Amino acid sequence: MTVRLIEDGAVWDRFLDETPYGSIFHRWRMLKIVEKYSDYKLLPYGVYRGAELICVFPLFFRAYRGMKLVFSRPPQSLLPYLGFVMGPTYPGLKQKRKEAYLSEVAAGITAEIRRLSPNFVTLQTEPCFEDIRPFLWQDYRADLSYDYYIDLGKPLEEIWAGFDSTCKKQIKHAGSLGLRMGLSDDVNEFYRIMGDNFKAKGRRSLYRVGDPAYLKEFLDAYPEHIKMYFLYEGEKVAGAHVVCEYRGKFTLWLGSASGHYNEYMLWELIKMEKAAGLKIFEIPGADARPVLPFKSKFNPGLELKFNVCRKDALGTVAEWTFANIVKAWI
Amino acid sequence: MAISIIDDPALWDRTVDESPWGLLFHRWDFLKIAERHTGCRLLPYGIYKGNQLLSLFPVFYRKDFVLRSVFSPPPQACIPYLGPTMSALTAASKPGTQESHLQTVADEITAEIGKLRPGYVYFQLPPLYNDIRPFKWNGYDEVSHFTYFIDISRPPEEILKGFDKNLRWTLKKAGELPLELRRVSDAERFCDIVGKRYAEQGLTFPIASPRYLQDLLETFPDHVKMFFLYHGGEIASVITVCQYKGRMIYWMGNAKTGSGIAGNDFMLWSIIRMAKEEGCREFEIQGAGDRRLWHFKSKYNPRLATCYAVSKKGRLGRAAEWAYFNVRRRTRARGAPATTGGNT
Repeated sequence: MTVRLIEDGAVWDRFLDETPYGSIFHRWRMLKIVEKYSDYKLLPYGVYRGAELICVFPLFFRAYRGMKLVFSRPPQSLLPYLGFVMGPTYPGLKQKRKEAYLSEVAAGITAEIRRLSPNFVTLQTEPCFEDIRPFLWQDYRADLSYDYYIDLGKPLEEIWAGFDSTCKKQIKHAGSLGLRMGLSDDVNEFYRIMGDNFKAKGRRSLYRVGDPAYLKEFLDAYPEHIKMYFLYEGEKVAGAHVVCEYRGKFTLWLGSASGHYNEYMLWELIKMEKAAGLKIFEIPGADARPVLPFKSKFNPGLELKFNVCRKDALGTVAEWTFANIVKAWI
Repeated sequence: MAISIIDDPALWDRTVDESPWGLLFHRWDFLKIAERHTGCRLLPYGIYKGNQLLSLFPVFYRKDFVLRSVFSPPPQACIPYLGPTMSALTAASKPGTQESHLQTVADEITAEIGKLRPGYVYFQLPPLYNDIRPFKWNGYDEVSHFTYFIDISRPPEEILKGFDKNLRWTLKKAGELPLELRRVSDAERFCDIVGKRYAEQGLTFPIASPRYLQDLLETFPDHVKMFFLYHGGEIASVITVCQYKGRMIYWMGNAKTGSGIAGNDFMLWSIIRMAKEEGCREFEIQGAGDRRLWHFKSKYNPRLATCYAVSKKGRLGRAAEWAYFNVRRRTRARGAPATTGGNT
């Protein structure tokens, strides 16, 4: 087994094309855009078994004021998840072989990480990838987090029947107001809406300090997969969502709407994506208790993902500082 | 919302039987036997919404000097997981309703056991229980554990085909030996054999007493079964399994006895076939999180599943936990006779 940096984006993306794992957020240009707009260096590792590439593992590294940090996904990147991607042969392997492959990946990657001697490492898994044991045995600790999903394979009437009654009323009411939904590429307006929404809730957000050009690059890089929808009430933009459509899965990535138009917007998107043949409607972020009343009224299922993390004393202090001071300042 | 102690065994067992979350370990008599042998007090809570019983939640309370502890399952009972059993009604409800009921259960139990002022709370939840957010929101820490399941609803040839090549060869060779599988109920002998294997690793077998196991064998003859595999007059492998609602759990044992034959593998395959013949659809092999054993267990080509433990520990609770795992379990094993052997 060897671990080496992949320099050819075509090799990286071809691997992603062939494996059933991975998301739009793992694509080469996505990662490069994240690198460009952050202070992190992308380390796109490939794990090889002989000549066979069995895993890709995008890491982001930063040395800052004596601290060394390794992430997959980097903070403030807006990506919902990242982490490693196993290859096309992995799902067909017997359990024993799966474990052997995974052990090699964990051993190889953690050895590379050790060479960077970081104070803080946090790596994420894709939703529903449960086997984090090899990392735990390398003295990483794991935290569980959740996303919601709606099965678009069910008939539309069944999906609708699952919504709670208040949600249905709100959608019906919004539907009677002549609202209109359309594609847009006005990222400045998106950032303004998001910044205002957070401000109205008394919350600080990245949208105050972030560069809208970051989002524009995503939209331009993957126009087939990443789209921005605005909801118009007359001429006024009443809501906005950035969404991903990738391999039968729809991800409600970024955005919000004023009033109760969010419910309407989601329902319109569900109908649209179902008609387009997508199978899963993913709503990231089911961990925060305050968002539950909104998200759970769509009767979604839960999917799990793990953060595996390792930190020394300095890393612990840095984590606390980020969570309690830097984030609050933003 | 309300939480109260349930003292109606019939209601309790009916709820356990009807719920897909209900386990053999949740049965009233099982809990009472565990209470009798572990020195913990059983608090069989029921959590209600109006008149509707949302969940059973058996917890065990113990006070050691100044440390008050709340467990589910209790220590020394060898119960792999316990926690709440949501009612059949909750299990059949929409995800949003389930989410709300789980929230209620976590809130109510946390408030109720808070009255006991425990310094240590530990709930090991079963594999079906994936949504631990309500516990996290109530300030619990989580730890992931892993277990294996084999789908035994498939034809035996297909199950065997999934096994590792070396394992198939080993089973073939063992099948040529004069091995005999006998159902027994000798808890004393069983605990002695398994205890010796633990002692080889510097540990004690974490079971309250052989009498505890004997009581379970006698109370649940259709559900708790013990088998010894004999090679001639010598015991080659031992196992105790739990069978309930179409699932068999390889519960305890399978200690390598130094007989020099592949008794453990042969035993496991024999039990899997027996479970299948008796209508089980799933066979659980526990301990997939044990680095020392995962290669032994994964050669059966099982499916990995995750289960979670949630805990709250004060300083005293943390110190007591450390002392239990690093001092008590190890010092008690000192002086125990050592035998040769491989993996358990």
